[in-house]
Amino acid sequence: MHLSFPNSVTLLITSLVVVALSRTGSRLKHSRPLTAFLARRLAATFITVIVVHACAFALMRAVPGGPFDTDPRMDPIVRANLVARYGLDRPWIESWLSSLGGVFRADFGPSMAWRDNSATEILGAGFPVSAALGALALFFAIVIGVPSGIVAATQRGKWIDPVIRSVSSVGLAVPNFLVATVLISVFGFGLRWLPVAGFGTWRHAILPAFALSLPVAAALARLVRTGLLIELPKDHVRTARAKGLSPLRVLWVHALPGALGPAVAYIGPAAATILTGSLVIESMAAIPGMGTHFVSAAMNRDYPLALGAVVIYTTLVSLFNVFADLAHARLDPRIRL
Amino acid sequence: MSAPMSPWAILRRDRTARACGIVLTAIALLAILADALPFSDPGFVSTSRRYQAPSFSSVWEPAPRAASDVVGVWSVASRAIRLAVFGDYQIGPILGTDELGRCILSRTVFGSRLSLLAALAAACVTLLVGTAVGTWAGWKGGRIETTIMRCVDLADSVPVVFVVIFAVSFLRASGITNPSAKVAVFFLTLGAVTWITMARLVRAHARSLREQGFIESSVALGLTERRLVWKHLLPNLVPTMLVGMSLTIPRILLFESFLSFLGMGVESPDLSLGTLARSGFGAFNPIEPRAWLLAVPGISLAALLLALNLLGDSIRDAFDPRLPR
Repeated sequence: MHLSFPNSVTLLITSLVVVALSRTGSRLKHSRPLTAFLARRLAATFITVIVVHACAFALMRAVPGGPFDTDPRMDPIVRANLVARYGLDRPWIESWLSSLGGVFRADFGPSMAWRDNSATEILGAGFPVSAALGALALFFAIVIGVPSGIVAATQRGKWIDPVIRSVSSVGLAVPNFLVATVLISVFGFGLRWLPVAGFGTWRHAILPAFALSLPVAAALARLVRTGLLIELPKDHVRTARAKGLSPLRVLWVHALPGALGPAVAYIGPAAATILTGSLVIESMAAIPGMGTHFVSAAMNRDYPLALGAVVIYTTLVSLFNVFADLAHARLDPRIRL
Repeated sequence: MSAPMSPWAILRRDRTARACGIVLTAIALLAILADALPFSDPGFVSTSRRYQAPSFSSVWEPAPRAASDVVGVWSVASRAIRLAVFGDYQIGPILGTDELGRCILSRTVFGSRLSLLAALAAACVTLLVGTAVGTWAGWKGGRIETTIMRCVDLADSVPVVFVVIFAVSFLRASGITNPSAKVAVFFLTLGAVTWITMARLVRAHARSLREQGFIESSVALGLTERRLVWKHLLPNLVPTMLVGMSLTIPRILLFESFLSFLGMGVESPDLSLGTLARSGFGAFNPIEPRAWLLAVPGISLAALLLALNLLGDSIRDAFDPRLPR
């Protein structure tokens, strides 16, 4: 079986999530009602999705004039047919219910801008691309952010700590699109190491993923640093050191698990940050992901596509929050689920 | 052992906070006084000067006649001051010009105006709504608190940017043609999504205050609820509000520039740092990079955000001494 690059990354991430979840389950089986927690949180996700869908739908319907009013040459009969095809002539409660039903069948209706495709087809084609990009960005963020935080905390008072802190302040403050432009012009146009735009191979993903990862990496570095600074002076760490364990073992086994809590809980907001960033980065680098489709749908008033994208994004962010809480509880037994 | 310093004293001693305060004051003054300073008209088209690179060939030059009408007391007064102080002269295009020969320096200064106004407007909404909801929930407790906090939780698990883009795109389509109404709608949408952080922070603090002795004794003294909340609860919540604002304002600025960069925020002929960055990116190409078009508004935006973030960090450090620095 041949897997394209985006699909293989998606598969890898899904399996990692499944493994992490199952290990969390085995650890918590005897102590806490994991199923009750999952049921509660998934119900909350469900409600969130319904509320967001309702708000977005109400907004769509509240706007006077339909998406087909812009073409003055359109035959009134044609327009009436189009309005009927997209269900815009039905009473709003009926069309809301049918739209909501469609959401749970992953059927977002026909796209209004790409008349040959359904919104589900378009979003389905964009999803693996965005997922691969987002996963790579998250990977970069962890690989850059966590070690930087550890170094900054353990080398406190040396020159490297203020350097890391300043860089992370800059990384948090400077908008993604500026970082991406600088990266594209230096590594793409200037040094010609990497392609400037488009998508297809792993080389295309590096620059956008790196630009996406920077704010998350900066936030992670800070959280890990603060967590370690709280954890390192604690008694159990001092005891471990007094027993004569190697500094690396003290750090890795005794200090880090307690210190990583806030960083792990940040996975949810990190996912939101990366998804948000992907809107502008995908549009800039002409990557055919969900973000590009969402932006163009919002511009073209393509209701079904925009609505579908908002629902998917909401679901993703909610699920990442659930996952973050689970992982946090796995790391820190004091956290009640 | 000496008495612990007050947070304000810590903040005044913090060198980063002072530097950021100076930078932010300078930017704010530049934006407020833009009309009174000798910048060229940001909308003045000069086809003979298209895409001029930054240069000091014409630093101080005679000003052409103002193209746009001067309206409003503030603008008229500013023009009068400008004429009196600087005469009929203006700063030349030292930071380059755009595709219509408009001065990038003056466009950036006038663009930062709208960006800052967006932050101010949305911050006001956040302050009013967030504090009101948070105080109410934290003070009343019980079922009201639970309901409000459930709503806040729900709103928190929604990716706000998507909802804002959705809302803005449909509000734009709704036939509002008055440009200032459009901008106002945009600002209010921004504020409507950022109050949640504030509500959450204020609620937590109000709740912990409610349990404390001075509130209990005020209740025992028979103070009216209104007096209690206004005189005893709210003044003690000010640090939390400050922390909330320090989190919110940079976020709104980032939002504004982000949406304007995508082409969904401020629209031409209005200017903001985001729209300037957008047109700079649009003009960017490997053969003629014209980097100044993007670099000038981009660096200004980055500096503004960095100063705000660093000041916010200092405020949080000063008011929350439990965290190690």
